[in-house]
Amino acid sequence: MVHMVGSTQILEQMNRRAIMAPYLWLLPPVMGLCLLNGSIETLSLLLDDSHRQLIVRVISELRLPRVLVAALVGASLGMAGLLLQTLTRNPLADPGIIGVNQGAALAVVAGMLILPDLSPHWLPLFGVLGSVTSMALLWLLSRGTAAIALILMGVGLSSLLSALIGCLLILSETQRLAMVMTWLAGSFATANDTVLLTTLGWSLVLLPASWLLCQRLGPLMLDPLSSRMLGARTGTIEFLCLLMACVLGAVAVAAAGTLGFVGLLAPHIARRLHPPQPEKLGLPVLGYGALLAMLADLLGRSLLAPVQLPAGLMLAILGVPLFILLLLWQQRIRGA
Amino acid sequence: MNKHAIRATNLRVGYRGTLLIDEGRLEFPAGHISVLLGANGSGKSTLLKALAGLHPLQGGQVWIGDENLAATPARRLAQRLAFLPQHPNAPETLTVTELVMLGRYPYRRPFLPPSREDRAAVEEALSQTDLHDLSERSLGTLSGGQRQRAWLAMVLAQQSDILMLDEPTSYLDLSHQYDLLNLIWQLNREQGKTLVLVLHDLNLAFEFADHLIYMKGGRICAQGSPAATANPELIEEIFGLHCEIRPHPQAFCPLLIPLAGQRNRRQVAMPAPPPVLCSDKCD
Repeated sequence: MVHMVGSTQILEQMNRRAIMAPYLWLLPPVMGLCLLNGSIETLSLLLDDSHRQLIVRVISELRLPRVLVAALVGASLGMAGLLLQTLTRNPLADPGIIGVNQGAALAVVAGMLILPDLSPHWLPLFGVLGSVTSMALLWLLSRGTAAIALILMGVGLSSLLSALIGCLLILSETQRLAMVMTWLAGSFATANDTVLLTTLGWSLVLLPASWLLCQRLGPLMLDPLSSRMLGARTGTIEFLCLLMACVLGAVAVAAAGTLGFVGLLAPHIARRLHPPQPEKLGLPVLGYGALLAMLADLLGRSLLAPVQLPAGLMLAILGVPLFILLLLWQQRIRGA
Repeated sequence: MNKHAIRATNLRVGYRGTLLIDEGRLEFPAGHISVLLGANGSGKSTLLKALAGLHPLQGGQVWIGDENLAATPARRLAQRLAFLPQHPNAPETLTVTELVMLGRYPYRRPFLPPSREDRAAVEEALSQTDLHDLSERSLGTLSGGQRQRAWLAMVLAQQSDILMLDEPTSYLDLSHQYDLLNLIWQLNREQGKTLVLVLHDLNLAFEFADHLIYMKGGRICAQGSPAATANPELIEEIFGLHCEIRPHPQAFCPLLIPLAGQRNRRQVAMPAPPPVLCSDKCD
C-alpha cells in the first residue's frame, strides 16, 4: 500500500515538474526544422555561396509565412478547444466537432465563390459571421439543457453544414474549385504574406485576450453548483468563452480551412503534462496547438515529397492514433 | 449581530409549474447548527439551493443577515455564504491545495497571484481539516473521507459566516461520518459559524443539531430543538417509520430505535443460529 502511494506520487511529480514545459523547448527546433525542410533540399544549398541568396528568399518569402501561419492557426484552434472543453466540462468539445469551424467554412466558401475578387483580408470576417451564427443557433437550441446536448446537437449541425458546403461546391463551377477544395481539407499551401498579416493581426488581439480569459476560468473546473457558489459570473464567462472560441476558430478557418483534431488534441496533451487549472493550461495549449499544426504541415510536405499532402489530412492520419493512445493511457492510469 | 443568519418570507419555490415549497416564514438562528430532515423528495435540497440563490424563486424573499439575496452580487454572496453541493466534482489530477485555493476565488483580484491573506486562509483551512500531510496529493488518490474533508476545506477557505452542506456525510462510513460532524461541530462552537445541513441519519441529527426542521412534501411540518421535537408520532408522520425514542445512554440527546425491521422481531421468537467462527480463515 505504502509503495503504491509512493509510486503514484512520484508519477505525479514527474507529470508536474520533471518534464517542465516541453512545449517551450520543442518550439524552436520544430520551427527550425519546418523552415529548413521542404520540397527543395535547403541545407546543402544554403552552404553553397552561389545559391544562398535564392534559398534565403525561399525561406523568408515562402516558408516563413507558411510556418508562422501554421503556428498561429494551431495555437488558435488549441485555445478554442480548451475554452469549449472547459465551458462544457466535457473533453469531447472541439470547434471542429460542434460545427463552429464548419459554420465559418461555409461562410468563407460562400465568400470565395460569390465574390472571387475578395481580398483575403476580409475572409476572417466572413468566418466570424458564419461561426457566430452557427454557435448562436446551437446556443438557442440547447438552452436550458445539459452541456452534452450542446455537443450532440453540434455534431449534427457540423454534418449539416458540411453537406451545405458540398452543395455549394457542386453548384458552383469555377476554376477556383481545386484551390477551394485544397483549402477546405486544411492546408497551409496558400499561406503568403497577406494571409500571414491578416492572421497575425487577429491573433495579436485574440491570443492574449483568450489567455486572460483563461485566468478567470478556475471555478469552471468544478461542478456547476460549486462554481456558481464561488461567485463566478458564469453567465458572462460562458458567453465570453463561446464568443472567443467562435472567433478563434473562424480566424483559423479563414487562414487554413477546416483543420481538425488540433482543438481536441492540444488540450488533452496539455492536461497530461501540466496541472489541470485553465489558468495554467492557457500557455501550454497555445504551444502544443502550434507544435501540432507545424509538425502536420512539415510531414505533409516532406513525407511523400514532391507530393504535397494537406496538413489537415496529416493531422487526421497521425493525430487520430495519437489521440486514441492518449485516451488508452489515461484509462490505464485511472484503472491502476 | 443579527439574531437570524438567514430569513425567508413567503418563500415559493418550484420546478416548471409544480410548486415544491410554499412557506410563510422560515428562520435559521445565527451561530447554530440547523439540520433539514425529511424523506427523499421532500424538498430539503431544493429548499437549501433556494436559500443559497441557486434556485430561482417564484415568490418571496430571502435575507442573508440584513442583505436581500436577490440584490446581493455573486461575489459578495460567496464571501458571506459557502455551499457544498451533494455531488461536488473536480478534476482528479487537481491537488488538495489547488482545490482549496479555489475557495479564495471570491476574494482574488483578477490576473494576480494569490495574496498573503489568500495563502493564510488556505493554510488555516488545511489545518482545520487536518489535511497538511495530504496537501500535495491529487484528489484521485484520496479516499472518500479524505476527499470530503478536502471539499470542506475548500468551503472553509471562503471564510464565510454561513456554511450550507447538502448531505455532507453520504458515502462515508459511520466513523468518518462522526469525524466530519465532529469537525463541523467544532467549527460552529469555536468560530460561531452558522451551519445549515441536510442529513439523512436521524440519530446524527439529534446528536449534533441545535435546531431541526422537518419537511414533508415541500412543507415544513415541525421545527425546534432535538429534545423538543423527537417523538415517535412525528417521525412516523414524516418518514413513515415506526420507531421508539429513548434518551441516549451517553450523550444528552434523544436516540431513535427503528422498529420497522421484521427480521429482528422474528429472531426474538426463534433461537438464534450458532455463530460461525472463522478464526481459521482470518488469522
